[in-house]
Amino acid sequence: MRIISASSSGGSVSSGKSQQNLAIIFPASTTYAIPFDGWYRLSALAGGGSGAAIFYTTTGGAASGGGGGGFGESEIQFTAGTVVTIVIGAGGAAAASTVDGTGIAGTAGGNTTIAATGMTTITAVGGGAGAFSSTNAATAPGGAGGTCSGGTTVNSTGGDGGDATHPQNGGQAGGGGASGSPLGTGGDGGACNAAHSSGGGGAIGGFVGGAATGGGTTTAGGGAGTGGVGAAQSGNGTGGVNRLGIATVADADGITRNALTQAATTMVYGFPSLVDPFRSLTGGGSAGDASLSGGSGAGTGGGSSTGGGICGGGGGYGRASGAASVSANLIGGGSGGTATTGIGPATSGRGGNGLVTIERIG
Amino acid sequence: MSTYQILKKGKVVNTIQADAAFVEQQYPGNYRLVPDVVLPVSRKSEILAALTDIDAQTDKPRTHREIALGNAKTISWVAGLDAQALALRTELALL
Repeated sequence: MRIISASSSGGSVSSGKSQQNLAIIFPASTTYAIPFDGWYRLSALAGGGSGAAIFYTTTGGAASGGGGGGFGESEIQFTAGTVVTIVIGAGGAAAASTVDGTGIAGTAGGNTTIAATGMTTITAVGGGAGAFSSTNAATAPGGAGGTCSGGTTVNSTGGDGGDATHPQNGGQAGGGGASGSPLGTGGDGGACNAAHSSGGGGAIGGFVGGAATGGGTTTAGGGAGTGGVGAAQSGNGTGGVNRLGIATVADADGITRNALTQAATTMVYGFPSLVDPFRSLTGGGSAGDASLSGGSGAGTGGGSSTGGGICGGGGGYGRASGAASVSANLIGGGSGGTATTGIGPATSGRGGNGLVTIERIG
Repeated sequence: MSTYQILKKGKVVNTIQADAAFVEQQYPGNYRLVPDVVLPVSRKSEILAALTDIDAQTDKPRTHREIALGNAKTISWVAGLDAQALALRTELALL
């Protein structure tokens, strides 16, 4: 029996003939030389699209969400020294509507690719851009989810951004779509069709963000969880359950990872595991208007100024007064649209950046 | 790490996260740095900028000439901008 010690990539859980390392994470484009002969899992996640933004003090407007990035995966046998070229797609830039009555469309996310001799290039396409409208009864369509090709084991499309329909007066904002993942197509962002309404963000695995359907008052759909859809209703919807079916934003290991700053009860955004990280995303969605992001892989509820987290879609942000601004998404998911009838400006969050992981699996 | 647009025949074909060495190696001469987005810092500065823009549009010799000649289209256009300026001034006074 041959025991192989930890490699230059970090920790090892090796035994027997094979070595299994923690995934190496690449947040920026680079080249990487394979250190040992063996089987590797290559995962490519594209950038998410950004939602649109509009502020219009007289009639308001509708701004749809950005689409989630595509995701692909291959398991390849490499020889040591093979050089892998990694290109990381950027998240779509934030849209800022600063002139009354002038909407700004979102921006598509960039494509992520993994290429090397002896393999088919994995091309994960960025999520599409959100759109806006201030025409009565018109619908601004959400950005399309990005596709993926070239993966030998997984090629998943991101979820579409939520549509935003402008009923008459008011600000409407669709949620962002989740990225594709090993669990399949990402969930679409929640739609909205009522005055001052905000759709929830989608989650990985096809769980859709809650739609905002009420009229007359501020409404916000719940963010989807990795185990269930976000609630759609005329009030503030509850978040979707996590992968265990529990109504919490926490991941399956019981830890909540949905903050930018460590706190007593909350850990910062991250993957629950660095072994097969994209399959460890198990968080629940956050509720509408909760000012709280969803857990890992989950969507953020509508009406929250916090952005989406790891692979989940951001919530839309439709408001009747004041400026409307949403923080950036982190990884892969589309950001929600932003709309207000207040003094503005309206600023959507940036779509999540792409990411690549390489993990030795045998 | 910065954001770069990758160009092909002058058109943007991708937007990526990379450093300068990588884009020069992979796409020599066919990229451009995307500046960090400068988001609006205050509504006051936006209003002042918008009023400056309106002043620039309405205070041209040609505009004065057409108004003096009674050009209805120009008069209507200026009236619209004046209405926008009035709304902005009112908002500015309330900040």
